[in-house]
Amino acid sequence: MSPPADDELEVSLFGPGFGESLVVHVGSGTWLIIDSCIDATNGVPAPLYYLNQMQVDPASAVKSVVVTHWHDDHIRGMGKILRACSGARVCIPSALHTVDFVRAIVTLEGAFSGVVSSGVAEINEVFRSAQMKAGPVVATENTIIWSAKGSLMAHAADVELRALSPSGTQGLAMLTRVASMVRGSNGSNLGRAPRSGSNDLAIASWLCCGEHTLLFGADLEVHANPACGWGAIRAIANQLPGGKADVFKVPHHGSSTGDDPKVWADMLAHDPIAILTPWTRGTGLPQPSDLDRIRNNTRQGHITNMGRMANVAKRDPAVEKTLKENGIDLLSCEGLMGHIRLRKKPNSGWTVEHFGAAVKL
Amino acid sequence: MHNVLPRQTRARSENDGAETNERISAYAGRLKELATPTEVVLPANNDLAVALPSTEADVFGSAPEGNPDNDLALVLPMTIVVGSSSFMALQEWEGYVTKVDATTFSAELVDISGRKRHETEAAEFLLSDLEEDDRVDVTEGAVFRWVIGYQRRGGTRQRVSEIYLRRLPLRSASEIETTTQRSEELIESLGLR
Repeated sequence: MSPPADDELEVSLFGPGFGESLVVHVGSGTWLIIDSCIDATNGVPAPLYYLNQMQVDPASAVKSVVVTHWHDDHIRGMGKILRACSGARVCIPSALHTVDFVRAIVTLEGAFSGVVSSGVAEINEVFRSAQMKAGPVVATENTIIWSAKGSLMAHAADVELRALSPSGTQGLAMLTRVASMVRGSNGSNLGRAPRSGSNDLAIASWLCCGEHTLLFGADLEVHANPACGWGAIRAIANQLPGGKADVFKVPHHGSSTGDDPKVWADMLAHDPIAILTPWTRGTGLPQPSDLDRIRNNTRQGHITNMGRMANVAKRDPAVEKTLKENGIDLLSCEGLMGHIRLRKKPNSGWTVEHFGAAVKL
Repeated sequence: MHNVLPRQTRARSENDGAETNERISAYAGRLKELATPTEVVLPANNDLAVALPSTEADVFGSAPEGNPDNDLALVLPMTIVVGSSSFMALQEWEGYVTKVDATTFSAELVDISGRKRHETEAAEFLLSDLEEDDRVDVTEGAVFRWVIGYQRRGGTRQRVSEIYLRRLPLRSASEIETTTQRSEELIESLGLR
């Protein structure tokens, strides 16, 4: 694969069905990474594998790594990314950069040792990284994560990545949930952490590059409390630089809980390019009704995987017989990697490419 | 049969199949914890009476210097024999509960026998397969082992599927102190104080 030209913007979204990662070229060989996921075929974090394919050195080229929230599907491989991107500054949600949260994750790490994957080990790796010790960007509403003057860029446009969330109210709720997990470490049946939920903590972000604005929704959801979730972002929308966004990373795998019609109406351009990853666990996302809703909002929807799963392994006949006798159907929850790549040169439109399992909606 | 042994039975029994299986799960879990870089192969022949040593230390000694990225070094089938009972595991998963409803629970599974590092499969189980006391512990995030294999007691061999909820031991005062020290060191290094 060849890297983008120095004056070319690129947004690459990776999603194998469990996890997602955005890799963004903002010009002049400068890259940003938002979240991490692993490609099961090679065990390497997708952003690192991709940069390596293009012979881009992550140590010097990546300037910012954003950990949007503490969920396994967004953080898997993040420790390796931070080790490789030694020149990058890390950005984390404000609620994680607290004494209480550090105590919680160290306690959970010591209390839980299972084979099942857990965001606990990964978040501990993040917190022990050189970037965290050097000082992270602590994201809350309307925080600048990274910026560069146009004079440093081949396209001559100023670039700025800004966090839109979480709000302070969200951070408090997060710490309450973490405390409830730690209580199990006195010997009761402590389970895997983190649990589902707490997507209201995620860092949604706003990238301005010259005339272009892009909205990356992470897993942020709509919240009953207008001081949280998308409601809190809409309240600060008129303070944001740039115009309406023409590229939208759809939040929370296209779920209805992440959809705020006013975001489509007030923060996004007409017919934006909408990109998303699926969630192939449980009941799965997006649901058919979610796809219909996204298609009603834009004709330019793209998803990294529409249900293409790895095969379930064949096993010893005695094992297969036992499964059948017990009425247990093993289902694959390992999707195939998909990659949506958007590139744009000055004075031209976005080009969209699909790799692997990615398809147009 | 889908045989789920109740916690109480395991606790009371000595040298029966239940305890054997408990040992297997403990053994497999210990292997993973040690992340041993070499394969540990136990004989698959039921006629070989491989008695587990009396303590884990006898089996493992000190923890080897392992690379946590190494594949899980557990080769199945393996046979563990204790007293007159034996268990030959054919397949083992570790799972965590993702959803619980009135009659069933769903889980995502790491195929330990297939040396997977992450959850690649999912399944739904009947809550009624668990003892009533165990059901209260089946909550979102709860971790369990699931083993399919042949259990032999005396002259009878039976193919079984067994689920064990993993429970954490009480932490000692020194362990709590160590954890506290580690977290305070990390807090200092992050400049949070």
